[in-house]
Order: sequence, then C-alpha cells, then structure tokens
Amino acid sequence: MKVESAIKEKRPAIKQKHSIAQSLRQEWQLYLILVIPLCFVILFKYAPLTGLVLAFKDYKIARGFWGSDWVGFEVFREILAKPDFARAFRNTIMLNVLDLVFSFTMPIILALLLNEIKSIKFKRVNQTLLYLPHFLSWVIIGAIAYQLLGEGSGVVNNVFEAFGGNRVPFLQEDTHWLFSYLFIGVWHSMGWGTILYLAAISGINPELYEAAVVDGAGRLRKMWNITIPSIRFTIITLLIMNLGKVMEGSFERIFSLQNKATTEFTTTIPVLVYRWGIESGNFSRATALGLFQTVIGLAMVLMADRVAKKLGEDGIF
Amino acid sequence: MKLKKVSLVLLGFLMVSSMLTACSNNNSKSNSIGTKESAAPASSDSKSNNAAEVEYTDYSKGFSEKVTLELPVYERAFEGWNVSDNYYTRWVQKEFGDKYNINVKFVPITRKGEVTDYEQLLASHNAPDIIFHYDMPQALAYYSEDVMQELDHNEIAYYAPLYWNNMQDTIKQYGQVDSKNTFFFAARPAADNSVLLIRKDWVEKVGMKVEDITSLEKYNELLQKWKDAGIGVGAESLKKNNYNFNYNFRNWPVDKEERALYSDLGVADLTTSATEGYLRNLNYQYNNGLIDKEFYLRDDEQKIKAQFVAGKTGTFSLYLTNNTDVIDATLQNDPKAEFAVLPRSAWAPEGNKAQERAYWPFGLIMGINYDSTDLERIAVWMYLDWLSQPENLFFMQNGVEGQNYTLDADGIPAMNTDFAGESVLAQNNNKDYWALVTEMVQYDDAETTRKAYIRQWAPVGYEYLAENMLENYDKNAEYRTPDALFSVVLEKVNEYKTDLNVLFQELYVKCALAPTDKFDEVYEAAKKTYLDAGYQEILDEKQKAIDAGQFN
Repeated sequence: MKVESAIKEKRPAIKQKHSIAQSLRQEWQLYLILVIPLCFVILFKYAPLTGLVLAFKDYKIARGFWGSDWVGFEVFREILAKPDFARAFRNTIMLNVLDLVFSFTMPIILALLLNEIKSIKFKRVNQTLLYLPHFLSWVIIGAIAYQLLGEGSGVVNNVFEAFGGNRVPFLQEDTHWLFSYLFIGVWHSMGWGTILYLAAISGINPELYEAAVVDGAGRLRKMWNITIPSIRFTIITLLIMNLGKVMEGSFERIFSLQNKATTEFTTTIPVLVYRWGIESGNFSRATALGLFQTVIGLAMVLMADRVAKKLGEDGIF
Repeated sequence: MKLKKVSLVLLGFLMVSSMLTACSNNNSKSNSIGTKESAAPASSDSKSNNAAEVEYTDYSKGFSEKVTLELPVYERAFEGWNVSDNYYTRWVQKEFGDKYNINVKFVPITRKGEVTDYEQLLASHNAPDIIFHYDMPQALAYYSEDVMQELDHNEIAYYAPLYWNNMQDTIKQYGQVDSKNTFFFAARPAADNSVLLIRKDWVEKVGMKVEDITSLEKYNELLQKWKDAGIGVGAESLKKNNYNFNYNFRNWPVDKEERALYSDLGVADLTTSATEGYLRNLNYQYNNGLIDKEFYLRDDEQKIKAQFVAGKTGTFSLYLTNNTDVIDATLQNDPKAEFAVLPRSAWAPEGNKAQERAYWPFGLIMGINYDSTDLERIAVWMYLDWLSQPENLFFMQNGVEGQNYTLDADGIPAMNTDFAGESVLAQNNNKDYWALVTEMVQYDDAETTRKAYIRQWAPVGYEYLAENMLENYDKNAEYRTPDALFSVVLEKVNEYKTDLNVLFQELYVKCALAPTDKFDEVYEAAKKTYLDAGYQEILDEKQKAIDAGQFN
C-alpha cells in the first residue's frame, strides 16, 4: 500500500487543457468508434430496462406494454405471499453461498497449484483439460450426470455394485443431490475460473520469489506471502462481483440436474421466474421477481464494495 | 459531485432508451392500427354492422391484395420433418394460397411447450391467426388474456359453408364464453387410438394369459411374477400436463357436480379418495419393485419407449399408428417379442368400473388472434372450408396415390409405409395439418371407417392390435365420460395451475416413494400443502360456478 500511495503522489497532476468540444473535434474518429459499443449498450442493456414497468402493472397481452393497468406494488405483495417464494429465496441464497464457498475458492487453489507446475507442456495440457467443462452446456452436463450418477443404471453405481458396494442416490435424494450439485458446479467452473488468477500471478515480479528463496522460503511460504497477497486485488474484485450474483444462480444448472424426487433445493428464484414468466405467461410476476432479485444483487455489490474499501482495499467503483 | 454526474448520465441513458422503446412501441401499434384500417374498408364497403342485413364481400375469386394467412402447426420433432416447409405446405400454397392470393405460412408450435410458445408469440405480436389448444381450460385461459376476437357466425357460414355445415351445432353449443361467440372447433368422431401394449411373450412366460388380466389385482399379480422371474417390470412415468390417472378409482355412477368440482385435466385432484386409491396402489407397486423404480425420471415418451424397447419394462402406452417404430425397435432387441393390447380393466381394482375420460365432442378448440385483420380472419374461414372439401382432406390425410398409398376394393387407402419420396407423410399421417377440421379420418359408413382405422393405426402384421383396441373402446363406451365444461373463466385455475402442477408432481412422487407404513402420514401432509397452495381457492371458485349452474 505504501508503494502504491508513493506512486500516486509522484504522479504529476494533468490539467484539463481541452474542452469536450475541442476533444471531439480533434479525436472525432475515436469518439465515432465509441458510438458503436455505446449504441449496443443503450439498445440491449438499457432499453430493455424499460420493461421493468411490467412489475408495477397488471400486464395483459392484448392491452400491451403501456395500455395495461398500473397496480403499484400489488404484484410484489402477491409474490411475497406465495409459499414458493420463501422456499426459493432460502434455496437461492443457500445454493449461492455454498457455491461461493466451493466454486469461488477452488479456482484460487487450482491457480496456485497450476502455477507450481514447472513443465510447461504438462501445465498446458492440464489447463486445457480443466477448461473443457466450461464449454459444455448444462443440458449436456445434466444428461451425462444422470448417465454416470443415476441410481438405477449410472456407471458409477454399477462400478460400486460390482465391487460389492451399495448403490448411492447421488442425484435422487435431497442431501446427496445438494452435494452432487455443488461438486458438478465446481468441476464445471474451476478450470475457467483460474484464467484471471493465472494472469494476475504471471504479473508478479519474479524478483520477489528470488528474494524469498534467498531468505529460505519454501513453496508454501512463497504462495502464502507472495502469490496470494499479489493477487489479492483480483480475488476481492471477483468476490464483490460474485456477491452480486448471490440472488441469481444458474437456471440451466438447476433445470438440468433436477428431478421430481429431489425437490427440496430445486425451487430457486430463476426457476420461479421461468415458471411464472415463460410457462404460465405471467410476465408481471416474473418481472417483479427479477427486479427484486436484481435490487438485492446490487445492494450486495455496493455493500461488499464498501466493506472492501473500509478494510483498505480498492473495491470496484 | 462525481456521483451526481454519473447519476445524471445514467438518467440520460434511461430517458433516451425509454423514448426509443416508446417510439418503437408506438410505431408497431400504429402499424397494426394502420393495417386494420386499410383492411376495414375492404370489407366495410359491403359489410354493415347490422347482423340482420349483413352483406359480405365475395372473395371466391381471390383477394385483390395479397393476404398473409398464418396457420399454427404442432412441431413434434419428427426426425427429418420440416413442419413449415414440406411437400404438403407447398401443396397448400399452390392449390389454395395461389388461387385466392393468399400467402400461407405455417407457424410451428412446439407440442410439448405449446402454451409457452403461444404466450411468447402473442406478446410479441407474432402469433398465428388461429390460437388453438386441445383442452378447454387452457383455451379459456387464452380467452381471459383478451387475445381472441369475438366471432360473427354469419361470416363463418358465408365464407366457409361446408365447414359451417359440418360444425355449426358444436360451435353454437360450446363456442360461447361470457355470452360471446369465441371458439370454433374441429370435428371429433368417436374413436381413439390410445392403447396400452403389453409383452405377450412375458405374460405367457409366467403362466398367465393377457385376457386373464382383468383387474388391478391380476395386473399386480402379473408384475410380481415378472419380478420373481427376473423378466422385467411394469412401465410407469412422471405424470404431467394431463391429469386423468385416477378414473379407475372413481365411484360409479358419476356424480355430475362432484365431477365438475374435481375432474380437471389441467389441475390434478390430489385430495380426492380416487387419487388416494391410485397413490396407495402406486406406493405398493413401487415399494414391492413392481414398476420402473426411476419412473419420475421418465418424463417424455422417448424415455419411456427406450425402457420398453430395451426390454426393461413390459408395458407401453402410446397412440397406435401404422408407422410406429416401437414394435420394430423392440423386435431388433428381442426377435421373440410378442405384443398384445392390455384390456382397459387391467388397471381398475376389482369391483370398480374401468372408467375413462371421454373426449369432448370436438377436436381442436380454436379462436381468432386479436391481432388478425378482417381479411386474415376471412382467409382462415376460406382455408377451413377448402380443407374440409373431401378431396383436399383425403389428399392431406393420405398423400399421393401410387406413392403413399394404393386404393383397395373398399376405397380405403392401403398405406405404403416404406415410401420415403418427396410426398412422404409426417409420422402421424399429417394429422397436425388436417386436425384443424377433424380429429379422425372418417368415411361415409361406419364399417368402412372402422376398416380405415385399422389400416391407419395397425402396423402391417399387427392388425389384431388395432382390432383389439377398437373392441376395447366399444366395450368400454358406457364408462367413458367427459369433464364438465364451465361457461365462465375460472380465474383461480389460471392463477394457480402452473404452481400446482409443479407441486402435485413433487407431492405425488413423495407419496409414491414413501415407505408403506408412512404413506398415510405423507399423503395427509401432501393434501394440506396442496390445498393451502391454492387448490382450496380453485375448489371454492368452481363450487361457486357450479352453484350458479355455469357448467354442463
């Protein structure tokens, strides 16, 4: 921190010499290029936000977007009274917090381990194998999971049985399902999650490691005292961003892995949004739930950012 | 200060984007109004609002301007079949569209996700001109969204005289909602090709005969013997969408009010004694290993069929057609496999009647999209009339003579199931195209119709399956009753249906999987959960409608 503040102090103050009009005149080509992504963001990220008004309307298809009646917070009151809502709220938070514990930490550990591999070839092969699951869709993963872990005819259970063991309901009993869900999530995302950490690690000054070796530090000591502190900013940034997703969760992941014998944890907010919005065509209710989810997510991000700053970190805003 | 600037910029973006969206919405609205206005004069020249003096423009020589007719067609994911562009869609365009200056488009509606498809298409103003569904509760749900036009029966009679002649009684009797003419229908001759196949060789292997399986007790005895002999188990699958599973456990004769209150294809009656009886038996079968242990994973026909074909289960429920692949596929795995039709009474406990849900006396229930213009609506009537013409219907149902079929002495087409040329029919004999006018093939006399059904439904060499199926159907006619039809929209059904469907699946699977001694406890808890989740409100609303006599 001292070094960073020293750098900041030494940085000369740059005066605003040009007005915006002058900048536009001189660098109009750059601004023109900027217009493209700006239009994209406005059209596809901001314009759809106007659809949020549906959360405050009794939306009827025939009356349209603006013709439907305003109902204030009635839709929100309706949602809160639904028995499924409390369950979905609990499950969404629980699954995401557990995911944060396992799926967020595993890539850090994995990146540290990959960084220790000396053979470049071996390291690359491993990285590629670890990245692969990320490119499989959840529908495929769901089908593979049932082929492998199914209680009735799953390959893993067949092997267990062949060796005299009992068949395990990996996906067909609530608690087992929860662990399988988390495990499959970790397997799916850990490889891809290492990319940012490995990039951050590659930016660490090798002299720091050399100095540590001279001081007699072993591998674990170097990891603990050099690597982890050096990627701390990346970890915190990603943690804050992940906290924003604590009310989201992957609809596809639940949908592909669920079955009707294990429903205790499978009703989540994205599942309800799909059920109410897509399956039953109650767009107002689905929008209200989506808005609720987003507002909580935003609050979590802002809160985490504040906490990070209070602890002396940079935060993301 | 910095925050203020950022907020201002964000606000600016939001305002601009709101304006953009608002403008685009206004544009689309004014376009649609514009279309309507331009369409209106075409008919208002000669059509007055007074029904008694109505005169309709004659379009028998075609429309002066091109009209686009969008017709829905079920997409059932038949391999190699393009529902919106094939020999028959092109034939319709050539024979009907080009003649009347109509551009006929077929809009695929996923069979398994039809409500979702329709909701999205309607919301984005891209839905076809006809909104259809097989079940009245969902048709009423569409109506309650105000997405259907009020119909003028005289207009149908004028533009579709043959269709109107065929269907007017049904349309007049069942087509009104809230005293408004809303629905029109396809015909439904009394017949059904749903059948429960059983592995005859398995039955005989354990010393029984198919005709002996006349009750649920006998069926369970058979399953126990299969299990003991290590042959296989009975099929079972996840119940969803159509909840008609407990008919065999219902009281006979039917109490009309009780049926109106509880019997609903779209919302399962978990709390009735009939369902309790059904679930108790399912729990017995599950705990004794008589049925597919992972039945809750079998949630579509392909998965259920795969178990039958692989020789893991000995029963399979299907709509029998002459080109079904289930028999050949099973024979490939087990050349000694033999098949029979399981009598309908096999699932009814002794002393009970083998009741079934009868179809309502109509096939598809249809309404006209609120977005359709007058000319598009007229084009719909013209198409229905054109499709009702016997020669057109026959062609759509059977294809090209000499290629798809040859006519026998009775004038019934003998289908060439090996034909794979350009004019090949869809796997269900193009049903999804001609279902707009009738649900079944029909000939002038009952005997010829029966013969035709056997041809159409029985794979070659398996005619006895269709014959047995028809015999069972006739034998059971007395115990087949339709659900009540409400003449008002049941708002609570629409509100809770989707949530209750999901909850029912969860609860009934729980009941089925519960240890036998815990069944009562689990079932009682399930009933309470289900009632609290909205079912009680549905029952209250239905009771009110029943008390007001708003059902038939």
